[in-house]
Parts: sequence; structure tokens; C-alpha cells
Amino acid sequence: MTAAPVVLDVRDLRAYLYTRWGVVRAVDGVSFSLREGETLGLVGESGCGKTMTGLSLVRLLPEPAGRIVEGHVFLEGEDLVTKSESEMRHVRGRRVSMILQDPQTSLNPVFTIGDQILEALRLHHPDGARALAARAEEALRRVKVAAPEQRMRAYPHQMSGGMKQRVVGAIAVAGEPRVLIADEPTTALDVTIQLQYLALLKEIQARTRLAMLFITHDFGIVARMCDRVAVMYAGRIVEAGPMRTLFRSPRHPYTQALMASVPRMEGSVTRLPSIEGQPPPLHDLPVGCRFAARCAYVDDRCRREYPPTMPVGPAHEAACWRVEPSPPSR
Amino acid sequence: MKAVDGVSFTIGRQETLGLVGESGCGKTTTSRLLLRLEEPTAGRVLLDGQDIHALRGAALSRYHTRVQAVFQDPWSSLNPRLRIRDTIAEALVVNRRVTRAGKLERVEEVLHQVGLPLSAAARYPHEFSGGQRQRIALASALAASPELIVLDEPVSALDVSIRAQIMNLLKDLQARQQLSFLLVAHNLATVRYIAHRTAVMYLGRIVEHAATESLYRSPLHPYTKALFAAALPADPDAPRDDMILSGEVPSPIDPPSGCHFHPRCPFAMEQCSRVAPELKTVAPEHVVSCHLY
Repeated sequence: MTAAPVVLDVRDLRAYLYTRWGVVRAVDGVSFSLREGETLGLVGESGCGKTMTGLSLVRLLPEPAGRIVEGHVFLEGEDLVTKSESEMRHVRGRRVSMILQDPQTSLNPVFTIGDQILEALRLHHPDGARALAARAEEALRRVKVAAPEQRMRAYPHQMSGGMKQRVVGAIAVAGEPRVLIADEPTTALDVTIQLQYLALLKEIQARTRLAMLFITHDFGIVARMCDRVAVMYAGRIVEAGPMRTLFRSPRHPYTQALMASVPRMEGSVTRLPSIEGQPPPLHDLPVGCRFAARCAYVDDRCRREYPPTMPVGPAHEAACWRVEPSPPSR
Repeated sequence: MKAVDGVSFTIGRQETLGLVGESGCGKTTTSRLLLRLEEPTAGRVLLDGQDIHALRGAALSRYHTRVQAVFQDPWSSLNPRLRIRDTIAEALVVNRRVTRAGKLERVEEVLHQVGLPLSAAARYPHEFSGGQRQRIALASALAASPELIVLDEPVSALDVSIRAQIMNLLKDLQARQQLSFLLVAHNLATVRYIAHRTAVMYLGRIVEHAATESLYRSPLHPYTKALFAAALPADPDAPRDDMILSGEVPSPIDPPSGCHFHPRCPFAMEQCSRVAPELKTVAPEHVVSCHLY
């Protein structure tokens, strides 16, 4: 069985923020790849660096503090890290798109929905006005916005949160990108609307074969949307593998503890395991494993030396001294 | 606009009632009514048989010590210019008989109860994380020795592993201090951990209300079923009920006629658009308002 082609290949990416409190090593040696038609979940809690990772991929780090200091982001073989800003403008929205949590920041309040979709389409389709309008209506229909002809004339404030996110989605895929980065796109939506929206994203992905990086802290979404998962902690990926494997047999102590702390819909309701303490600040990282201070299995080596990423199963790896490495398959 | 339209429930001592629903359902307005931050247009809120909106003077002051609140946003709920001890002590100002020394002692007591070190008292909010700030908010609520605490989305702004810490803490406090909680939340899995009974709200009305175990074992109202279907389990092999509702959540300003849920309900019948269903008991301690039953 041949795997789908790799569309995005991130290698040892480091992005730091230079602030007056010190260097914040937000993304500190992150590697992963996205395949056509597949969804990779990037999970972690606040401050782990997952949003900064997403922003680094499209070179949208906050300036002037943020900088990619090392590493590569190969989009179909081309390294985005070395591209100029004007070259990146052709990449964003067309080859790699991003949708964020808050549709307010993505939509311009003083332009109609129609104008904003047309703007996105115009970059990709050199059609006349009428043909473009038809495409825009079709784009809205595809994200299940009812009565698109009327909606074209609406302003963002006249729409609900769910509908705004759908419009944002329509704009994001208007350029037919190869990669979609979704950063907590449903966190601000009601759960029944979230379900609609996730189903829509899946449908769009099936139709266009786009590769998705889904950044989230919600394991329920991961179980529904993701083919593979990478768990981030303090700027690094501590475990990565097929989604089912991460749920059935997480190997990194952080992944295990995190999953154990998620409240379930069935089973006992006595005590919910939690993780004592907090992650280390990204501007003041310890030598050695960053989870050491909170880990139940910590030993001296963990505190002295950061563990290498080791294979622990088929397409499954973890950065921990205490796991049993397994021989890599294939 | 009827934000809350004929809602009735009781909360016993050392009991937690979970109030769940999506935006516009009225759960926040309900919690504000209990806190006297809103006046009811009709109906009453009784604490130990007394109408809280009819209280005046000393009885009213005492009410505010008996019912306290913790809100969702740990970032804006604490006064950034006050030290933690002063924020917590504010709740004690109501009872003027407490001396300065008595106040400090109480501050230390509640900090201990919420698992924070005494050194936190002299510090400022910005020095603490979201989870720690919620503990401080809880400490403030506990300072006046309340009987009922209204918790409005107390953990939804926190990281998953921190949520677990706070939920465990709430459970412990309830057991140790015989506290009652009204837990307003949208996350069903979270509610399940501490609510003894749960009520589901939609557009200002309670559509289903039961012992938590009973509700979770057999949700009856179509909206409850949709909520459960949307509560994505952290388990890829959990049985999937893809009940995806069509349409948007209607505005409470102009709710649909009859049963408010009928336009989105996959089981809607002719009478649903004409007649609002009554709350009926269909199982021991399990009520639902739906023409299907």
C-alpha cells in the first residue's frame, strides 16, 4: 500500500521570540510531515508552541520579535524559510492557507462577504466579473451557506459565529491550497455548530485532497478529525504517531498524563487524574527533559540530558529516556 | 425577549446542579438571577424559603455571604491592582465584625483550602497562571463561608490538565464544607464529574432535567441527544451518533413558535410548531418536555 505523497515537510524548525525578558524558544526543534489528503493533529496545552508552529509555517510570526532561526519548511520541495516576503505573499492563501480561532480577525468588518471572497478568488482565477461572482456563490454553497446570492451582500457582523467561520473556510480554500492550517477553528463555536463545521472540513478535504494541520487542545476533535497526532510540550514534539495508536498506547509520560486528565462520557466519576505543577517558561527552559519536574518516572539522566526521539512502534516515536525503544519497521 | 422562560429547579445542600446548553439558552441569565444581578420578570428565587429579590438591609447583606460566584474568565475576574489578600478580604468587608487580624487569618485559611501557598497572599494577579487565578477566585468565594456557589463555566478557559485539578478541588470542597453548586457549563464530560443532577436548556427553557447518571445513560430530548452527539468523545472507537443538526441556533429575540427546537429537530411533528410541550415525568426523577413522550 503506497502512502500518499508528502506535501509539507518540516525539518528541525526553530522559531524564537526575542523579548526584553529573554529569548522565548517557542518552536524549538520541531519536525513533522503532512501528506496529501491527511490530517495531522498538533496537540498541546497553552504555551506549548503549537500556534507559533502554525504561524512559522506561513512566516507570520509576530514582528519584530519573532524569527525563524533554523530549520526548513519544504512545501512540495521548496523551502518556505528561504523565500522572500513577496514570494510568500504568493504562497499564502494560494498554496498554504490558515484559519484561526476568531473569525473576527480574519474578516474585514467594513467589506461585504462577497467582496472578501471575490478578493481571494481574483488572485487565482483571471475571470470576468460575472464568472467570478458565480464562483463566489459556489464557494459559499460548498461551505453550506444558505441563500448565497443574498449572503454575498451581507457584512460579517450580520452573521453568526458559525457562519463567519464557514465564510473564513470558503475564503481559505478559494485558492485551492495544498495545505490548510487550522488553529483551533471551532473553540469559539457552540458544540452543535462545531460538529457541522468539522464535518464540512472533512468533506472539503475529501474533495480537494488537501493536507491539514489541525492545531487543538481538544482530544475529542483529534479522535474525530486526525489521522496522525503530534503532541507538543515546551516547544518540542514529545510524541507522534497514528491517531489510534496515541489513544490506545501513548508512550510518553506527558501524553499518558494528559489523556488521563480528560474527563470521559462514561466510566467512573471519582477522581480525575491531573498533572501537578506547570510547564517550564519558554524563556527559561531547563537542561534535560522539559517534563522532568512533573514526571512520575523521572530519573537523573532525564534531568541532565534531553532525550532523543526514539521509535516506539510502527510510525510511532517518543522523546523519553524511560521508554523501551523498538526497532523501526519498514 | 424571554431570556429565561419558565425555568424551575431546586438545589439541595451539598448538591450540584449542572445547567448545560449552548449560547442563547439562558443559562448565564439564570445564574445571574440567582446572584441578584438580574431581576425576574415573573417567578421567584427562594433561598431556604425566602424570596431573595425581596430581601433588604441586613438580610440582603447576609444573602450575599450565603451565595457567591466564580466566573469563566480568570484573566478579568481579579482586580489587577489589588494584592490577592485584599481581593479575598473584600468578601469579608460585608461582615464588619471581623477584625483586621481576623481577616488575614481567614485569607490564609481559604488559600489553604484551595491549595495555594500562604505566600500568594501578598502577590498580584499577574504573577499567577489561569488555573491559579481560578483558585484565587474560588478562595474569594469561600471567604464569606457561603452555602451556594454559582460556577459559571469555571474551567472552560483552562488547559485540560488544569481543569482536572480544579474539578477535583471543587469535589473536595463540596464534601468538606457541605457546599451546593450551580454549575453552568457547555462541556458535558466536565459536568458529569461533579453534577448530581443536570438540566438542559434551549432558548430559555429547560427541555430535560434528570439525575446526571440517568440523563447520560438515556438522554431523551432530541436536543439533548444532539448535544451528546456533539460532545466528541476522546476515543476514536466510541460509538458514533452523527446527529448533525441543520441550521443555526435561533435568536432568543424571535424564537420559533411552539416547541422552540422544532425547526432543527429531526423528529419534529405537526403539533411541534403549534404547541409548546409541557415538562413531563417519564422516569423516576427524569423530566422532559417533548411531544414524543
